[in-house]
Amino acid sequence: MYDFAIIGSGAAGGRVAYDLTSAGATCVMLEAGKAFEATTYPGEELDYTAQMFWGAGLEFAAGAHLAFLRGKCLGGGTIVNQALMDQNDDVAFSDWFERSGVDFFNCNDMAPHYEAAEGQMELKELPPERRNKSALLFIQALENLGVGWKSLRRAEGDCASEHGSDCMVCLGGCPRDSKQSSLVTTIRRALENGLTVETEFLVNNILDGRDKVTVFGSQRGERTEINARKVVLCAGAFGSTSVLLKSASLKLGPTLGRGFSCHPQYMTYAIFDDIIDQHKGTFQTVKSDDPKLRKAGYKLENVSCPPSATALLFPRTGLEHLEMMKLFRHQASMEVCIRDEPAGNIRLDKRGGMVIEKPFTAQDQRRVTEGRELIRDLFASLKPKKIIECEQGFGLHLVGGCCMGVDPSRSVVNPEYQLHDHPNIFVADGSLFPSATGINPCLTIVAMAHRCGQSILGSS
Amino acid sequence: MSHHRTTLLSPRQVRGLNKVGDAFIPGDSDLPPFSATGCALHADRILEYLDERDKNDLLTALTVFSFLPISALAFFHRFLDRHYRRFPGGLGELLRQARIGLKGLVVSLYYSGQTAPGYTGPNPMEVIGYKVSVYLDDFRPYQPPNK
Repeated sequence: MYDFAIIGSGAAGGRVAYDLTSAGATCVMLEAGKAFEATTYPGEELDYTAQMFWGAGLEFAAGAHLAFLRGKCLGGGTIVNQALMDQNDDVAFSDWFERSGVDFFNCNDMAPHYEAAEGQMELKELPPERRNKSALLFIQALENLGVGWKSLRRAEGDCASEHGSDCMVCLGGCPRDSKQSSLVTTIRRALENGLTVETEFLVNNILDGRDKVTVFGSQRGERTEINARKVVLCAGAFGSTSVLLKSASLKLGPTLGRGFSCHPQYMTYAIFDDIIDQHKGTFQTVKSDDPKLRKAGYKLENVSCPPSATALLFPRTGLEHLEMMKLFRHQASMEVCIRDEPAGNIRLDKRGGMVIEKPFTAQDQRRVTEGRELIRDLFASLKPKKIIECEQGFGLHLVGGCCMGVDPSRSVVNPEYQLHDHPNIFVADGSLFPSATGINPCLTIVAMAHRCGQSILGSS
Repeated sequence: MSHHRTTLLSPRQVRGLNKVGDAFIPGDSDLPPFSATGCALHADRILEYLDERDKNDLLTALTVFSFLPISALAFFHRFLDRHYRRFPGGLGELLRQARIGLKGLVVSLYYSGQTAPGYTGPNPMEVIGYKVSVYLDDFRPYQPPNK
């Protein structure tokens, strides 16, 4: 029997595995997806989308007005994200404290955990020489309208950008091992410490026994179970929440599944006479950084997509679609990412399938509208040939569902990361977040996971 | 011309996929029609990873589409594209999922650059000018520093 079964291998799972195995615990990591490495990533967008994301690349909110992207491979979302690393600010932590009553939700108390998280990865603020033409246009537009901006900080090693490496490739896994995913940072170290990894292991439910917790699931189609003294859920907002919803024997309150948010994002493209080639080089090197926008509840990003994702986002069909796609090299894009209210709900349907209810509140809708209007004005200041607004929204930062709090009637997990009535079952991922922060959540997930590890080791 | 090489699609479903693909991507003077590239041959690379329920729904839809003229499918695409947000309830959800699901399948295959053996026409990826790479001449697996 293992000391710990860790469900999920993304930002949280890797960190927890590293901390627990470093302390001498025997751990097994259960990952639903396959294991890839730098030399075996599928490479083609067609293949990595199908093989490395849940739902072969698309999951929907009920009503299908919003689609979600969720990594499914060893390393989870950290393999397929852009490795942007930001700390929560006072605004975010104050909101969390008010909602949860958890007193360590403040910059001071979380500082050592951010430090530990950052200590396990190489971080770089992206320098001016790595800005591609799309980034320069983004900056020019922001400056035209007096909107503040800053360089982004990314977890990366050596991208060989001087040799012309294109970051777009790494959305399907970094073939240089430069991206500081949980796989190359914490999981690799945890493996050296004796971590056992089981991939293609789909967890169905967990049973809390007297002196052990049993994880039931299937691995490559074969039903199987794993016993451990304790279980740490690190499968993200959808994964951790749905496993708990399926674990009918657990005593869980009505708050489970509530409080889901996802930073809904909407893309706008502009077509220019000049070639932009926004897919070349380092993309997303800068972002808006302005107190006015922070207060307004949204930020603007300089994101670009590979062709099929662009084609999917573009409105229109037939010849209109082809005309826009033929101008692929002339496109620049900006996206609004809103800080949405945690009004979403994760539940199961009658057949046990996961249902994501994600209503847009009036405030959410206002933020989307304001952000898109600002983007239209920003692009207009650059005098493009055409501006194209995409209707399809996407949620990438999936948080909530197992919210942390001091009050068992209003939360799922206590400040020691345990389910309120099951002290041997922990949750350590983004599902803990009491609300969306409006800030990239990856680094905070790692920092929270580090604190979880400390809490577990301190109590055992 | 038959593109049936997949193991997950029947010949009729391949016809349905090519029809729905041509309705969405009819081709023009630069870009080839969806069906001409033979990219439907590579559908298994996506279908294999779909949930069983989603896959069965998709196969049923492709079978139905195989009986419809491309003009009707093109109208269906345009209609969904312009009005998909208006429909409430279960019908609206179904239409929105159908819209993005079908569009996702078609554009993923077409803009993959994959074609049928022997295809000699223009490659969509080359026409739109998409080419990316990562420098790997000095590749070494990442070794995390001791911290």
